[in-house]
Amino acid sequence: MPTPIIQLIGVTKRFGSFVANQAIDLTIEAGSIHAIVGENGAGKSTLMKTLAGLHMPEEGRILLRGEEVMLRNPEAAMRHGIGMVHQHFSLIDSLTVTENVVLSNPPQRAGLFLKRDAERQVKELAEKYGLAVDPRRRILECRVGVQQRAEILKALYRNPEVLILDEPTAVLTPQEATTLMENLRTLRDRGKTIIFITHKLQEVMSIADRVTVMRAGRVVMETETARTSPNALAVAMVGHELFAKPRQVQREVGQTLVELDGVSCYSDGLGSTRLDNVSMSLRIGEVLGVAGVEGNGQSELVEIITGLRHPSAGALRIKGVNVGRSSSPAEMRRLGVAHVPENRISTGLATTASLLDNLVMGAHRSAPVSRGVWIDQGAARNRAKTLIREFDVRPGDIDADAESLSGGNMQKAIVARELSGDPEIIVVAHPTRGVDIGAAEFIYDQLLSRRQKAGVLLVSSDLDEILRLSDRIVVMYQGRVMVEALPEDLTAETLGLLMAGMQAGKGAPRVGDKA
Amino acid sequence: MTVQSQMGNLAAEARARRSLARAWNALQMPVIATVAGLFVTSVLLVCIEVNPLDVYAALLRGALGSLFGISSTLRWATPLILAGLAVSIGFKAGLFNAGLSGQIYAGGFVGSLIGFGVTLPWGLHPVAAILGGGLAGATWAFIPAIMRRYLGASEIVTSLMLWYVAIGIADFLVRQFFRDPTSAAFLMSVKVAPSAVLPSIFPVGNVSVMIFVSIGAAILLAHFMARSVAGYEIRMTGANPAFAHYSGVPIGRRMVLAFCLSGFLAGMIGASESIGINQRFVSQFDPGFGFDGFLVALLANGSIAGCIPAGLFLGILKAGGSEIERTLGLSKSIIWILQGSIILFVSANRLRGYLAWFIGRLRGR
Repeated sequence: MPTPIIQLIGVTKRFGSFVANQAIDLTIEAGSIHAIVGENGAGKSTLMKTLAGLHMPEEGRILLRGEEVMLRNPEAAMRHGIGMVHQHFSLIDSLTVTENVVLSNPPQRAGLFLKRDAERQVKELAEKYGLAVDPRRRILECRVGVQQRAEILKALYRNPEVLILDEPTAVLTPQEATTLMENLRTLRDRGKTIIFITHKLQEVMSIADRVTVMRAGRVVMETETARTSPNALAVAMVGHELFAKPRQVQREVGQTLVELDGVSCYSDGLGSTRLDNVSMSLRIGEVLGVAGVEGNGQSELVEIITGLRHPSAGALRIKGVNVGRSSSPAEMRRLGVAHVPENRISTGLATTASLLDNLVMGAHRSAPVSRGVWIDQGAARNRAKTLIREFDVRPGDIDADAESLSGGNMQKAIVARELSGDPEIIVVAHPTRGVDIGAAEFIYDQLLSRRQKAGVLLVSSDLDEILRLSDRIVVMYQGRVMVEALPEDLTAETLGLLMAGMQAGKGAPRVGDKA
Repeated sequence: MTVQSQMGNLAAEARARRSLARAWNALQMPVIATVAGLFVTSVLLVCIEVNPLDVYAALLRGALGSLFGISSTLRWATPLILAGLAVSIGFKAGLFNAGLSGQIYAGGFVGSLIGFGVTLPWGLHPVAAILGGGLAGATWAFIPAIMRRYLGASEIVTSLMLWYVAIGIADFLVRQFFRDPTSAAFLMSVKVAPSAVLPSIFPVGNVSVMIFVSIGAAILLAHFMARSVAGYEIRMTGANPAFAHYSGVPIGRRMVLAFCLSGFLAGMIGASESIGINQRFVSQFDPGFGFDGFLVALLANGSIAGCIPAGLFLGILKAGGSEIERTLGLSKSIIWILQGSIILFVSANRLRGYLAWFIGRLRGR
């Protein structure tokens, strides 16, 4: 057996007290396609960033072709022949494909950029690996799939031996994804080693030679793709034992709070369909879980219900009131919608403002905090202190800036603010992402306890979270509702498969699929 | 002493220490920058064989050493404080009012127009002129504000460009209809009515009751931003517009409000110059208060009330300049160098870090 191109031995990476990667052993064979799968937060990206020189591990060794190396920065990783294509492209929109690809080392003579030579090089590179691009087109005129090819070419331009791709198909249409799969095969056949991170088991099965499954910072399975099945991978991804717990399903539901009727949403820029004819309803007394891999329309769904986005087609009714296209966050909040957003730092908080200012938001226009034009400082401070005590936000200095809090405490502060005032419609997106277990449990309890008087719409890509909290589940895939089901009719495996866009074998009734 | 009251004392002590630390934090940058600016200017002065201490002494003597000096300092501080406030309130909302000068010009024109064109009783006439000038400035700021809100046009560019428009319109109207027939070289309007003139409140110099208006405006505005619902919403809009929008704050309206408030303050400057200092509209009357406003706001370090000391400080520099010229025979532009280098250091965020590191090393040795 030849020496593997990459060997990780006992690699551990911590962020503060959080262990992102725990004693990882991983072997990558030269000239293979190796898939890394796992849920969000399983540590896949961290591990790959370690390989690409973006993180230094605290413990463990990295061996390249049997020799130990230190990858201090991306440049060092590049010199050792490891290139990475990130999920978020690092391209300059106003430059052409060629200019972006050769940016790291442009062909030049006497300080002048040789545009012709560069274009020829890019053309040759693109042809060699079957990556169809127009070298002269500007990035902003390219579709996402082409942009990604430019990004891959940019990595290939440095002639790496190993190419890492972080969730490459997350942003692609199915057709573009199919093309990418073919491209990756071509790359392998030309001698490159490919490592790619994905959620989609279909992709793993179709092109990977080997697959590693990660869960909670550890490698839980590593095997040849030919020797496993999507079901076995799904089980390994989520871990069986998590579902042993019996849960209490709420059956008595009341009034309909939110009703979507054939709602579609087309994104403004590239003309892709983000939501395709979605119909669903949320009633008092239930937690409606919306499961799906990120980027399958859940964000748009949440934005429409909370007034941040208008549907392109279809009707939205809140408590029987047709709100349709003129909605705004202010109007939705008046109708009783609370929103724990998916991104706490960019949307959920003003991090440079004090915790007091952050906790007063929303209550500042009505008594007792507001007294006409003025804010009653005493009442405002009381409110903030009460919320901090009830939700155990630490440290509890309300005059400190919000950015001084840890992620988990930021999230608790947001949940505290949004749940105060007993909203009837609670829209929660990824409520426990990056939150430690204790805080997550607390947030779960809070959400479940609100069920009696409110409806909770829970968006998550965490299977455990969905199965544990939901009274009813819809699965979204590529902007459509794949299935609507009761949690007891779904196993982790079927749910994982549905999220990955596969039709369930059994136990998953196709109720909600209206497409 | 019971355990409980002891704990209470400790908590109070901790609170006091925290607010002291915050105050020091806010003051640190301006103080460091001023010291650094004085240092750089001193080096320069030494190079031309002038004793920096003589210069700074003359500066202080000129600005504070006589009734005329004090009056002069307050005269300059009046527009400087207002201009600093106008810039600061924009900053709070996350906006950059680069067109302050245009709004000042608009206010100067409308203020004088009310001064010579309208008949009003003594007490009321200046009030009407100042408020009218303020409204003119607010209107001039309203245009870039709604262009930003509805068209996405950068308020920095549009407000700056509108400055030229303001000069053009005001000068044209004065030349056509209101020109003082006795004025030859300079374009200036007829004098405002005696009832509209803001008299000096000192026996010497030009300082008017507007100094109290400036200081009052700073206190009022600081209170408004910290304590009112609209002020809170403006602050949150500036701190994170996405957060404010998601929370239901009408961020478009809050931005427009803040920008118009900024324009109103600028317009008051123009009107006050017209009816207080020049007693008429004089073309190009603004010696650069728009730019000075940014100096004041930067020196105030994001604090609204901080515009008062910052404005007074820059007022001292402006007033003391002529004393330097008179007694040392040194060009007044040394003041510009001092001002400029202070501002350079105020905006140098990392200076504090380097300084802390340097002090740490000194202590270590």
